[in-house]
Amino acid sequence: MKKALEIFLGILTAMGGFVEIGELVFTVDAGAKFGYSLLWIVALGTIGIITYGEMSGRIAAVTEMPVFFLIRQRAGYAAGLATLLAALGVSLLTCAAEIGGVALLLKTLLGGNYFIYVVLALVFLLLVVWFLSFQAIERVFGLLGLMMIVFVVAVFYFNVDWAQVGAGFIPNVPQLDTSKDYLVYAYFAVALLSSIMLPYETYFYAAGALEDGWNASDITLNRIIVIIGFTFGSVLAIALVLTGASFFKPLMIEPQLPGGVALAPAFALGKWGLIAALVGMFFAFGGAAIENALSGAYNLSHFFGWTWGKFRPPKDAPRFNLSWIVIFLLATVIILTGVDPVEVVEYSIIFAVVILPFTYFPMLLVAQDPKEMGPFVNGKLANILGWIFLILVSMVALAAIPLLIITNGGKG
Amino acid sequence: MARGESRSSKKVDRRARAKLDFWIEAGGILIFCALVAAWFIVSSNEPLDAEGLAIHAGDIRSFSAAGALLSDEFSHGDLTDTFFHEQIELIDDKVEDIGKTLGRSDVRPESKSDAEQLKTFADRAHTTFENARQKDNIKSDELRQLAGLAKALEDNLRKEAEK
Repeated sequence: MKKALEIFLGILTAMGGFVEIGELVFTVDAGAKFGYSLLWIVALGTIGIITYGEMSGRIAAVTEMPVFFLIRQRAGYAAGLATLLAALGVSLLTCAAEIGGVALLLKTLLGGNYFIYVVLALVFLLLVVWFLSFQAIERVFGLLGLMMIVFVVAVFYFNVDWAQVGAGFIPNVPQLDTSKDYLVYAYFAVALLSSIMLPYETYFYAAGALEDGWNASDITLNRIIVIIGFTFGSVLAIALVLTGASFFKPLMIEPQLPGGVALAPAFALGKWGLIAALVGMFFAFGGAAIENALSGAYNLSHFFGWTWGKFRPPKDAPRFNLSWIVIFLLATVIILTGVDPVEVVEYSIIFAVVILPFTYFPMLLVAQDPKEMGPFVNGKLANILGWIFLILVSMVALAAIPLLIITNGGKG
Repeated sequence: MARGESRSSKKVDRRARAKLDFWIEAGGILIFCALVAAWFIVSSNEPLDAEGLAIHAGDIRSFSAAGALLSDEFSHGDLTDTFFHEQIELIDDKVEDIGKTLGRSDVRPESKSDAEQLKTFADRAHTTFENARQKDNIKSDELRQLAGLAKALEDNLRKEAEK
């Protein structure tokens, strides 16, 4: 019974934590710009994150080794350090964007000065991480983030062309007006894939498995949570694409503010739809800010061999605790300069894709090594999918920055 | 003795190699960041052409249409007062920024008239949003019309840029 409850909560938490500000912006915008034609990227990205999420959880459970320890071990100190610095940069930018997103949501919910809410968001997040246990953070933010399900409900109020939705899941390139539009389509494909497969998700997931004390007996639990949780999470991402395509596109709107996206559930479900969407986003963004700050602290600690863990009292892991506090502070300083959080997240997502191959390659090497994994080594399917996605993200990583520049950040 | 020396020289070689690798990778990352920063500075100082104007036209189109939608939903009672006012304020800030950018940027001679037209749209949208902030009332028809005009201009500019 306890195990079943754990699985159920794990699935809901994985689902509720699937969407963050970057994914929200890119999925809705992708729908508003290209209709249903990018749905196949959501499906592809979901299979990718399931493949590597499962691998990272399995490695953590079997070897009890965190991701960055493996990266250092397999890639060497120098390459590992370069990957660590890049991952920290991406986590910092993403954390900054999420804090900005939380502040924007508080402003639209309660009114008042944006910068005051940035500081309040920082204080709130610091207190949450300091006082709540790892599991409580995961559960509270994951479960309350589930309020974003209003987007799934709202879709049924819109004029969705379900035949086109089905066609959108088949890899395609739609007929577009100009050659630049094709590049923008490619940019959105890259950004969507990256926003679903963000590297911090695997760092955090594996660190969470270690925090929860998983061992080889939790392999099935890991598999169920990843497959069902991420699949249900992708339903939310799909609903956001459908919202963009069927609600915002006909109105010629490409929402550039998180609050603007909430106009869709407000249209379908009235004031309560609006409030549920805003509260759901608040917890989804807040959860992502915490995950990024903690991921940065885990990565630093795992790489340099510091004592780490939320399960330890702060005095027993001082450098780990100082790290996440510093990441939160730096992220807040970035947002207090007045940069648009949505622009920040757009850059962080594109830069994130560049480090994906450096994260996934060592993970794949360990997962397919029988000496490390024993009977829990990758099966045929995990190996095939692992290599396919590694090649895919490597190609996407090469294309990401040129596309960012050529398309003016996807604006055309 | 000789074996000990060769072992320690191998260790030194490995360390030197790791140091070299690190500096090559760090240099690569720095060059990459410098290139992105250079692109950002160069592109933001270049005079606006049809492509740049089309991006602003798209923004005005989207913000105007979002304003009209906000107004409709507010009048149907689907939004809270706070949400409506804060969202209008955020959109207005963005539209005002576009107007200011258009006003102070250099524009290529062949795109001057388009830029002026776009500036007029941005100013009209800003005035409408500013009135809404003060009076709780937003002219959604005017915003919808503006969105349509901006869309037409955006399409023309994109075709021009394609040439």
